[in-house]
Amino acid sequence: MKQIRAILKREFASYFKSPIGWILVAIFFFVSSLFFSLNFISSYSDVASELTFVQSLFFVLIPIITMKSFAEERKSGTEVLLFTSPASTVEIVLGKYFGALCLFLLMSSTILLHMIFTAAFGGVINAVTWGSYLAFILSGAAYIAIGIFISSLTENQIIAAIVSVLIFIGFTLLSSIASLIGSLVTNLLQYLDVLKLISSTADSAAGTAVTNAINWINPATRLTDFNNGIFGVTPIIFLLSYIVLFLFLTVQYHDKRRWAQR
Amino acid sequence: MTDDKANMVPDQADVKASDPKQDVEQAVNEQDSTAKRPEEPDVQPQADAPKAKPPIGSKKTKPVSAKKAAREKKRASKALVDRRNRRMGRFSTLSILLIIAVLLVVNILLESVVGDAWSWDITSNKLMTLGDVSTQLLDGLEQDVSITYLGTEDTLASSSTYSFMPDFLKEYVEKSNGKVTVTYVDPVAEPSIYTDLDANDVYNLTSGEFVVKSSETGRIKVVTTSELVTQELDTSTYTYQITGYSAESAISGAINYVTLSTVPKIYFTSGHSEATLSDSYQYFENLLQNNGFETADLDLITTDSVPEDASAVIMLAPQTDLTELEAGKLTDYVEQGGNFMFAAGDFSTTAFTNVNKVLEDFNLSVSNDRAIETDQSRIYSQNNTYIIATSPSSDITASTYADNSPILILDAHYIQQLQNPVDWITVTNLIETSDQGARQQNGDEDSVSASGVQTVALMSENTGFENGTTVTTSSRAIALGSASLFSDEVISVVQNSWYNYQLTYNMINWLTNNDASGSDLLISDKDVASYYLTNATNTAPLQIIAFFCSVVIPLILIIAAIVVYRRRQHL
Repeated sequence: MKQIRAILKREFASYFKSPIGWILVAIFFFVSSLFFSLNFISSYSDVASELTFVQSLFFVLIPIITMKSFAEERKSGTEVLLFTSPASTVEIVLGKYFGALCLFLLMSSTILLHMIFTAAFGGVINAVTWGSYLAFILSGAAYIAIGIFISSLTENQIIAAIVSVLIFIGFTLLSSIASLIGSLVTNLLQYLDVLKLISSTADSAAGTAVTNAINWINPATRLTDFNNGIFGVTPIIFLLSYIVLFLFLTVQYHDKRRWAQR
Repeated sequence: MTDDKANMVPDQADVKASDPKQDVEQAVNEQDSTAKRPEEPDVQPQADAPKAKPPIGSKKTKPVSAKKAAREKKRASKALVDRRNRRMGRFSTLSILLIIAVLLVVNILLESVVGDAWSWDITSNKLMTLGDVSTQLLDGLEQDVSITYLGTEDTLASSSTYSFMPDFLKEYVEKSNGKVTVTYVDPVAEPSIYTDLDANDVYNLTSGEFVVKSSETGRIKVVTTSELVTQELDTSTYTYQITGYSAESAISGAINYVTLSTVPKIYFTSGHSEATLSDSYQYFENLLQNNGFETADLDLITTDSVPEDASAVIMLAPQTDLTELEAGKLTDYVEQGGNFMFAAGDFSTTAFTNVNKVLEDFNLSVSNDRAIETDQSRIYSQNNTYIIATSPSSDITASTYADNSPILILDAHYIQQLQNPVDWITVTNLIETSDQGARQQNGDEDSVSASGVQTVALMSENTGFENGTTVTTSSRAIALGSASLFSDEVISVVQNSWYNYQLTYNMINWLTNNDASGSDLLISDKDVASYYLTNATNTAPLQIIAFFCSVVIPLILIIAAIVVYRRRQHL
């Protein structure tokens, strides 16, 4: 735990020892506040909608947050120092993850500030708002875990960022892709079923099942219920599973590199 | 990727006895000791060097075999390391597969076992939860009903206005025990869906519509997205804002409609400058559609008689009277058990003599007097013709009317009960003023009657229509002094909090003898939470906060970034 805290502190501080941390927070503050302000001056404030809008910044901001975490260490050669420290790989990965998460939470505090102003002027801050905020934080946490994993695969920060952006965009397009694949499966079954042994309803059902299965693994759509006012435990566990999986992959990858000999 | 720095040596203190690296090192050392002592220098044979004589007493050295031994040692060491790396790789792959499997199983189990039980509708007006009326409808559903959205689920979920629909439709699937199915079909990917659903192209289906269809009756109801929410133009921002959610009444109404064994049909007369439903009675039109009524126009001049499938005939806000011929056809209709409603339009002094001939059978008469209210607490918008009326207890209001629940009715005719008391005609007051009501005779403001309760709507049932000598059937009639009771102008103001909407629904059900659905199927729109700031009387502080958040703070952060950057340059 002590090692995690030490790495977390070092990682978090490193964002602000370079302009990157300040600029990231500034961009987030500016964009979210712009959306908030345009409504606010018209005596209107819907923080849940603001969160949905701000979530579109994930594609850019989270890859920038995570791209340096392991790639930079590897490039500068400090990775050896880190891995020869008394900290275990799990502690190193967790420390770096929580460091990035803390920066994200700091950025997200902008929304809390908007909530305070909204409540102060008699606006609506209800369960749906808090649900949306939780969904926002969880989504960010999951995307950071993915970004950290990508960063650990390369020593080039730009490549890490680009791959992360592509993956995040992929999540957004996954629903459309899933629907296309579902249609493809349906059409394929109908094409192959020359003897008409399977009913067209069954073909459609198979296509729908494939679409649903692909959509099921998509973290981008799992938390939309929260924005609509449905609070569910299973989407939270799903997102936590994503975090666990990608942190585990990161640990495994580094363990392999740490102990492998040539 | 490079693996140059991959050969990292861990801190010895951190390496435990069970570490694979230590095992491997031990194994390597053991093997080395069998081949050669570690401290022994390698003998490097040189081909062109003169052969040195071996010292006396020493064994003969074999440079070729030493080289071979060294090579074998190296190969053995490498093979061991490779084996170890492969073993680690296998272990790593297995553990990754294992954790993926565990996480998948946990999530699938949770979702299938407790998925819905562990989710809650946290909206203030339970927007995402079906009400009792819909739940009751779905409980009693005996037919399979399919709801097909002509588009992708993603399109719907990402819509700013209708994103709630996919979750909302899931409620129908869950609460109907599988009787209702929801599918999303993108017509672009599967254009055949149009003909699959509507083979004869009766409904002219387009993408973005919901098609509700019963497998048993084959009946279809198309629900458009505009029926899912009610929106109003916000004049301050010139954008449409959602003022209520009507998705439940639209979808449940559609399910009710497609599963009905027979659909009651209401005919609206035409040819007397009547109002059209789609013009200024859209709420009324939706109410009829969502509750399983079909509507059609009826031109009494061109038709010989009222069609047999008519459950009722309504004359909606006519500006001229019926002709004698038309009145005769309507009288024939009601005397054979037909039902008739007259709903007057804006007050005028037009005499409805022939309409009154039809209503005579029910002891009703539409007068040329205008009802007014003199009790200031019972008038709306300081206009004494805008009456906040009440409804006395009757068959129509029995279970749904709360005392003093107001009814707004504008510019209404006084409806008179004819003095022809017979046992088989029962007339009941439906809407009336307070006891301080009065009548402007012939609409003349200067000619006001004495104060008293004025009826602006009456309902009547005649159970004595005879065919020769025997009573054949009964029929019902309603005379309504002003159709404003259910006009868009009034309903958009009073919404569901007043009694107008419910009363209209009850009236129609009573008129058409539509007891099958009962009065419980009325599903009101759900109001939306207002996101306007209630304490913002002055915009100045709002502008300061907006400026502070979107300009000052980001600017401070950018300055900090520049300072950090410059410091780093001087390091």
